[in-house]
Amino acid sequence: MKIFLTNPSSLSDDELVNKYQSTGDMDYLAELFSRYVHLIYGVSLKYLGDRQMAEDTSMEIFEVLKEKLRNSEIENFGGWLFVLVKNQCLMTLRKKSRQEEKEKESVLFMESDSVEHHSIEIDYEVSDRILRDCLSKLSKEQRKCIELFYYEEKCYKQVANLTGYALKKVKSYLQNGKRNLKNCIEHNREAA
Amino acid sequence: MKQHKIHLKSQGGHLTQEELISYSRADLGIDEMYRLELHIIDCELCSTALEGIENSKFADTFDSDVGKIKASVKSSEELRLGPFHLGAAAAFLIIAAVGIVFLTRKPDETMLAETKVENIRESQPSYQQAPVVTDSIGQVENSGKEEAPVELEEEPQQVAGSETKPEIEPPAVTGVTAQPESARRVTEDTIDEIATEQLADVNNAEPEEELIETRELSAAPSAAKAAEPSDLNQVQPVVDLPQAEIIGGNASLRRHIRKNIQYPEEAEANNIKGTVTLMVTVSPKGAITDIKVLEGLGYGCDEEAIRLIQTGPGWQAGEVNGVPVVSQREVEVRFR
Repeated sequence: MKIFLTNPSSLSDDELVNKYQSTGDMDYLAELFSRYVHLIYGVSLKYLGDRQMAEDTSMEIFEVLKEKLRNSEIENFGGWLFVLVKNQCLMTLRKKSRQEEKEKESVLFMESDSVEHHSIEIDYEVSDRILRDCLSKLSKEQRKCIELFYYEEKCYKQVANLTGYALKKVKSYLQNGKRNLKNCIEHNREAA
Repeated sequence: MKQHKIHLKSQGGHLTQEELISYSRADLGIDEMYRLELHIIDCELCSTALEGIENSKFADTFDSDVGKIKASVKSSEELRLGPFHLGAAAAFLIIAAVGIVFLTRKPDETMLAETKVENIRESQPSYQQAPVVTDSIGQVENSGKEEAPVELEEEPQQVAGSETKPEIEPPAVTGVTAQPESARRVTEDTIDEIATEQLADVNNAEPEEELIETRELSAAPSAAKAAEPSDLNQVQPVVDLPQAEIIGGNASLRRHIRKNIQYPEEAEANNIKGTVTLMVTVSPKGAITDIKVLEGLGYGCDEEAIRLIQTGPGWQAGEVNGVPVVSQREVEVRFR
């Protein structure tokens, strides 16, 4: 019978990661997993497109987490987990059809290597000039969407209605625009 | 325009299961959606998961599937405790049983020990033999077995002008016996095509230490990629010339070089290693009319490389519309 001084469910994600890393106690991992299982499963669905495979892979991820979580330095659990789930899905795909998926996988793996773990997420006030500068460098579509989203506080759907872009396009404009903006701003800060 | 701060950090926590589902069903008010989107825009985990369940095929069963995963992970964790305790108990029983056996059957102990020693002796010779075998043909095995299959597979591509990997061919005489079946067959095929003088050389002693490799780059467009930038200027004026072919293929030239290379004393004394790149120009009739050093090593290596090409297999001019024309080919001779 285990006695916890603190109930795992009252801890933050980061605390759970730290506790699991220092104690190896499964209860911390189980709690963390249960907080993320729907996202893990959702991402698996996206990559595998099959319920059974996604279920199996989600369970495998629990096993993988046991090891990986203990030995990894994690700054941003969500970003780290995403890369892990993605790679696990790709491994499943590779197992399923080694030959067919070979090319796709190598491309995707390269992508995942370059995925930032969003670790450089410093929330800082950006000088107006840099922001304007970077905004103006975005494509017209990206800029329009970003402005509507951040300045007018329109949700994706409203942005789609206002611009006439398809919802999917809006999403990608926003996500890519945001990434470009971030890169640009960080670049300018370094230079400054 | 209202001035807002653009957060570079993702806002709010990850989506809960309920949020994920209601967002995907567009069951939320605009404010609520916007609040979640402030997070989603920066969170690959959530945005990808959303894409996963936005496929209507998966939306309805999502909750029950997640429940299944949770339950099975939980039960597998509980099961884990079972086998562990059982295992410990079993281990204890085995230890106890072995202890009893040893106590009651002491006289047999020496016998047991003897059989063990015998077993070890029997198994030893096979371990000792292995290194002896590899010693005798170690060189051949190392240089031949590993490389030969790769090389053979790539052969057809070389014609197309792709850069060949550094290769080491097994020495012909000893090599043939050590080669895998497929490699032997091809070697025999190509031997027919080698000039007679080379056949005569087969029995000669070979320079074992010097592993010479040829790397051939076509003069065709793909050469530009492989060649050093500094080479480009020299190659470019002739890039339009078709590519000359070596009679018997690259393999026959490699074989010739390996057997006939005389590592220049001067280069050996100065520990010169590297690659000499040559541009061979061939007349329509297949005669070598010019050999240019594109990249030399000096110390006699350049001359030796040229000599090797001159004494090597014949050439066949490239063709334009079926008519042989003056053609070229880049050849690399490696000294090491």
